[in-house]
Amino acid sequence: MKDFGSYFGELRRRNTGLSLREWCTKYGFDPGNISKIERGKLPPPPTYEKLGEYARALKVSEGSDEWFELLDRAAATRKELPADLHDDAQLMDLMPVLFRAYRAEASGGEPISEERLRRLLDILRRA
Amino acid sequence: MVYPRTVPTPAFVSYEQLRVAADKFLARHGWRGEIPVNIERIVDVGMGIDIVREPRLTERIDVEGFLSRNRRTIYIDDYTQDVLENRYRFTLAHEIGHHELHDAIYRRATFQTVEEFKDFLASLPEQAKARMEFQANCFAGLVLAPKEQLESAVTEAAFRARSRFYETDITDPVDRGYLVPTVARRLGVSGDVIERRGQFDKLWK
Repeated sequence: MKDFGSYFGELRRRNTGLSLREWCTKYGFDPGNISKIERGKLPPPPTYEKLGEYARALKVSEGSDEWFELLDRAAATRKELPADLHDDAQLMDLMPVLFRAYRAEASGGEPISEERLRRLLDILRRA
Repeated sequence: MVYPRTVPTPAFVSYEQLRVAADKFLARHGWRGEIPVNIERIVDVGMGIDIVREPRLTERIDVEGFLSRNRRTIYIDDYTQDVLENRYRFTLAHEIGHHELHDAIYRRATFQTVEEFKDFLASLPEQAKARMEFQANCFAGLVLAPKEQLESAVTEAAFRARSRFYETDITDPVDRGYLVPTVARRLGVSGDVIERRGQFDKLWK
């Protein structure tokens, strides 16, 4: 999976067709900071509002797949769970299962069962 | 040693071959004849190459930009990018010249930092360096001032001069002193680029 910065740059190029400087000039962002974000030298913005501001300038519609992917990659880069999933009790219950299965697989144990993964994915899709 | 002795001098490439390479490059990136050529957008969006500002690059190693070893990043002197728009555009096109023409040399280089790039430059045999720079400069001029657009801009500049009751003779260096800056502004390059392009394309005869 690509990191947040690479995905950010990919969206800028694909959705707007503007160079970094052109995009920053158009939307009033600092090119130095955006360049650092795209190269992973600065972390993703800490607030949902700032991320939303970037997303709109990247022509990403709220609620679209790209929107969630941007949010999720920001959270993953910050080593956090996406904020909108925090209140999902059913998902939070499953997190230990996922972590346990991942550790087991990483240490050469049995891979996580497909049934468990599917169940988790269903919940993620509904979220 | 950042430049292995086994790396050959870049091959001789004629001016016409460089022109073909430049024209193919522009066509590959969907250029439709617009001027000034939006080289920044071609590099960033079309090629996916990161353009990264490097503080005081010119002051530190006496270059305005350089292409990274993996050819995924162009580092640009911050002052050049902020203030010297034509130099900035030419530097991007020049580095793309290296990207397109000198792949074999970059693949064998090992530099990682600005200082190592300086060592890499210093370690290049003079003939190799001169040839690489000449080819990249020609490529940049051909990309930023494509033949048809250059000729058209020269004709337009001469027409505008005539309309102000000033008949220009393009073979006269003094008259060219008036025409060249107009053409250069139209194409977003320096007057030197236009002078050289005119000489190579025999426009001033």
